[in-house]
Amino acid sequence: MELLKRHIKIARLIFKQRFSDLEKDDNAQIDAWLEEKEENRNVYQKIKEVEYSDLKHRYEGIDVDKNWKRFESKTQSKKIRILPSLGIAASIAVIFTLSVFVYNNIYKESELITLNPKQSVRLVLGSGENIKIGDVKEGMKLASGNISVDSKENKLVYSASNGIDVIENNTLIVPRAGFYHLVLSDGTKVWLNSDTKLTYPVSFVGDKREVTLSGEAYFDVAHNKEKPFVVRTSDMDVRVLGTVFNVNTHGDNGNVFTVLVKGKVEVSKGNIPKLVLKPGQMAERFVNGVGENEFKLKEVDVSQYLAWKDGVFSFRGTSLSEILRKIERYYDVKTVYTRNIEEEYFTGDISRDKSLKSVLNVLELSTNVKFELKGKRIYIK
Amino acid sequence: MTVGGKGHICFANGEEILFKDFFKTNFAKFCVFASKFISDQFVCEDIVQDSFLKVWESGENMFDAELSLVAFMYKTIRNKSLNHIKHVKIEEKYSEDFLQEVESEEYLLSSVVNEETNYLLYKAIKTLSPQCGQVIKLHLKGLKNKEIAEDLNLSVATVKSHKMVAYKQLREELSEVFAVVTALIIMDL
Repeated sequence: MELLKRHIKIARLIFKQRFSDLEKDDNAQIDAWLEEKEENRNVYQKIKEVEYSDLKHRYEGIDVDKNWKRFESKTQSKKIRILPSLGIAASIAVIFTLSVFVYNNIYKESELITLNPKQSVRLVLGSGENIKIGDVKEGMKLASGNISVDSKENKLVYSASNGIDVIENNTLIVPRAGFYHLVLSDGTKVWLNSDTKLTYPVSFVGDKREVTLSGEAYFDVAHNKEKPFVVRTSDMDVRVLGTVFNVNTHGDNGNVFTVLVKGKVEVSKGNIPKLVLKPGQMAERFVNGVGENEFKLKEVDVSQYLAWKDGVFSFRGTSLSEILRKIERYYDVKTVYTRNIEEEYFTGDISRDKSLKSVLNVLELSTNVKFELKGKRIYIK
Repeated sequence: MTVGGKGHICFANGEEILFKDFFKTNFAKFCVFASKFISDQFVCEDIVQDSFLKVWESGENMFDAELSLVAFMYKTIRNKSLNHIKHVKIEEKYSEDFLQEVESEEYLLSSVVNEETNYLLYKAIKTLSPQCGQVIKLHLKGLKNKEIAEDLNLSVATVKSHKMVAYKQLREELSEVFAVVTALIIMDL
């Protein structure tokens, strides 16, 4: 690569030389290069003789703008953002209003909570010490392992210790509007969505690998037949052998669920009959009364449930109120209803890269509802 | 270099450019470079697109400056071109001699120098007004101010002022190349 870079530099010097006199040093660089090979002298000569009209002909045959558009669409194929006003609408952002019931939820001004300024991701160590993720230092000493932090990637990596049998737990707390990536000491990768807490041992000791989750996380579990991996949550435990799955305990829709991408998992809790999942299946548990004592099995399109990990909001017949709950969590805002609204349903994907304003715009264009954003509150009009 | 949010490329040396600008500025140049290996223009465009995509998706790679990124692009395009040639070798019946030549490092290096310089020259002249452009084209041919003035039926003073305007524009357009201001250009040297 160095040789290549040098030649690019020489090219730029030659260009400069053609227009003006160069500094002694630069001239010397070109001369030295010319001395080295006959090939170099040939190239130099060719450049001197080139005609502008030839160049023009060569470069202008290429439609740069068209190519840029082509390129753009390749880079955005994973993040679909459709604004109905562009007329592409129909196939992607479809609304079908099923006014099933009137959603009644009116907040009084006095009940509004002033929200905290953006909080950082925090790590609670075995000692009980609660520190900001920014304060975690490279190679920090823990009783039974090592951590390294990659702040650009929002990532924390644990490396296995050597034969230390102390069980030390750490807890990673991702606040609202946060997102974090964690690699456990066995190599298991975990992505944590906003408003999520994960407690895990620094080093996996014993015959089980056990973590505790509250919120939403996507796991890519390192294969280890000898030590099954178990994710414990308050309403559902997920037991795996080596696999990829997403667990969500937020209860946005009154349910807690696990979606399996690859491998095999078994969900259980207390006396509830266990359920084994195959890829493309979801185990769901309703936590608000009806059907609370069973896990329901569903075939699903997993991509919808994993979209958050790739920075996309993915909705498939999702109610407006559920969408707003997700938005509240991701952007750390609160919704205020100034009137009753009919429930509406959406299907579409919105990139999470967008500002809250843009996302609300997209929703507005597809619906009868109007939003007004004031600071950290979304008013529904 | 990381491709950050909103399509910015940030280099280790602190420089920052928009991916879109980098693409639009260099796309044609890289296509012409690819055409030194492959004759089909559409295949060339595809290869260059794929190479840009590689950069876009790299995210983690660290380049210290624009120079490294450009070198990476040339290398990637050349490798993809060679792969393509090897693939279609049988159908297109490329001669062994041709293959040997285009595979050589010599070929890569001289092509890079050629294309990098040519494109700069082209851009330099293209952005100028017709009058400035004419003056510069003649200057590049090696003519002295007096000769240019005669040729274009202008006064020497006008020729010099056209040159001044041209170089000012060039410095702005091609800042990565022109680091130093020289007033010597206006005089015949």
